[in-house]
Amino acid sequence: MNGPIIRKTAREAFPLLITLTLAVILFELLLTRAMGELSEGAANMWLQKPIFQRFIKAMLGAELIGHVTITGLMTVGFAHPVLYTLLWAFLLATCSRLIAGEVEGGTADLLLALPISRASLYASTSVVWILSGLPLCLATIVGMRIGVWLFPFKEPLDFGRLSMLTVNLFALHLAVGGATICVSSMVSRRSLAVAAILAWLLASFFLNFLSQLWPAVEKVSCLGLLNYYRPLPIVRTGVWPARDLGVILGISGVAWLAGLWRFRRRDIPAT
Amino acid sequence: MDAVVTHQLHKSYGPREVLHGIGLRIPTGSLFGFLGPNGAGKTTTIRILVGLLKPSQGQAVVLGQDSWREGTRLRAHVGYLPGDVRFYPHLTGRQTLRFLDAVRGAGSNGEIKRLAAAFDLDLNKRVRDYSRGMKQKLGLIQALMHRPTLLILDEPTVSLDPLVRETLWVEIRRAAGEGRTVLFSSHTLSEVERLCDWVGILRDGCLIEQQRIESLRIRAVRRIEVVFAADTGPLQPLPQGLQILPPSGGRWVANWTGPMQTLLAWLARNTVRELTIGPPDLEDLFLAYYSPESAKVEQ
Repeated sequence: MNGPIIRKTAREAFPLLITLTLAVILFELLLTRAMGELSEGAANMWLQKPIFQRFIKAMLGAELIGHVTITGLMTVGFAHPVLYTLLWAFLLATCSRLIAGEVEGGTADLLLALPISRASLYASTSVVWILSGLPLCLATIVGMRIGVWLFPFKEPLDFGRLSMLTVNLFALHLAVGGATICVSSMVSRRSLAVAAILAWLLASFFLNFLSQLWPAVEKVSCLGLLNYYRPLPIVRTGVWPARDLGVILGISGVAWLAGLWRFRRRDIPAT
Repeated sequence: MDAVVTHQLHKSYGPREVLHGIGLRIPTGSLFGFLGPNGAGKTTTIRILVGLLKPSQGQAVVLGQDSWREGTRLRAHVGYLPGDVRFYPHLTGRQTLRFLDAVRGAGSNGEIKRLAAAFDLDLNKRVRDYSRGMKQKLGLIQALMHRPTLLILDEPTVSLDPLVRETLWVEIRRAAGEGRTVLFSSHTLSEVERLCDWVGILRDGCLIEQQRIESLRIRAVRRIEVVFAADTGPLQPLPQGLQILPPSGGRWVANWTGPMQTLLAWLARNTVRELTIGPPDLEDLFLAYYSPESAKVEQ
């Protein structure tokens, strides 16, 4: 690990991290306000519709109907496309910068001509995006707490269970970050790395939804990352989803190591 | 010990081979000019020496260490200026140098100040506001600031004005004077001729020449003008290497290739009234190296 590299990477990531953390807080706050206004009757009426049931199952990993609690409803705040967009925007921007971005910008020549190993450079920059996941994921709970404080619910939110979801969300952060830095270490154009990961994430997102509509797609839904990210069962049972977490962390670890392996061996072409 | 030795260095990109078995030797403490036309493979060779590219075959040993496998330790003693140097645009010149110095752990503050003054570079501006020449100066400072044992400069004079070029020559000579080794690539012969004591010539991925510049000068063509006292002209037989052009008005013009001693000994046997011997013209020699005809002959 190299201190100056960590500090420089952190300085570059900081403005985006602060902006997106605040955006996550604001989003969760607004969602809390919206959920507070949604009556149990209205919720049940929506959940009667089959298409909506499938939509919720794809998003939260279980059916909500029959078990509508305010804590259950708030799990939407951990699997909403807006939250994904905010978290992944940070990861795509930060993790594609180190290798593909530095190669494309020509600054890799300077960095890699310094007496620092490629492994150390890779690890030093990874520390920043990994640790940045903490404020981003915790921002969900912070936003909900502020929301509940400003717009109190009739029944209390179970923050103990919701906190388990931040750990699950952090695992997802590691998987997307690991995959992005892996692809970034294989290409020399940042836009290519971003496009590849975005395509993978969108495919995973839509695969999850389509598997609820077409049984044929369900057979391949295991290929999508979001298939292993199911917040509602965690809130409902309070049990850690060991298998799902294992798969997500496994993807994260394998992708990170594959990126490191490739980066240590690859040529740095002249710009 | 040689500062740089490469053994049968090959580099391929897919099926396209760009370096064909380069065997380079750069003596320690020398000023080595690396010449070649665009696309000859100079930058590829340099990038292998710095550890940015992995050789497809062969080995590059820099300061006694393998440039790919032991690159991390090795680069502490190397200063490198890339051919197209780029920096982080949001940092100032000073922040850039401090960052690079901090990663190196070299503590080069004093040298940074001295070099910034020598190159007349304002370090308080952001790099995005620098002109191309200023960026090149910043690149030179970062390559020189830790007083490396081996300085590798890829076309360092690009976008430098003549005054800054002079400053660079002074710094390079100073480094060589301290026993440090300098390798710099160029496609401008006059720069290399003026500065270097060794030269390597690359063409189409092959090292076609590697010599002391003095040895090359012997092989270079000199223009000679002679007016002989006798009307008979030059004494026969002519020495090998003398090519006489048609005389005009009693003045004989010739091209000479070879050691000066041989020429002078032959001239001493003649009765010479006037004599002019021009400096060796390396340009012709290098053009001959670069010419497609020369490539065909070698093949």
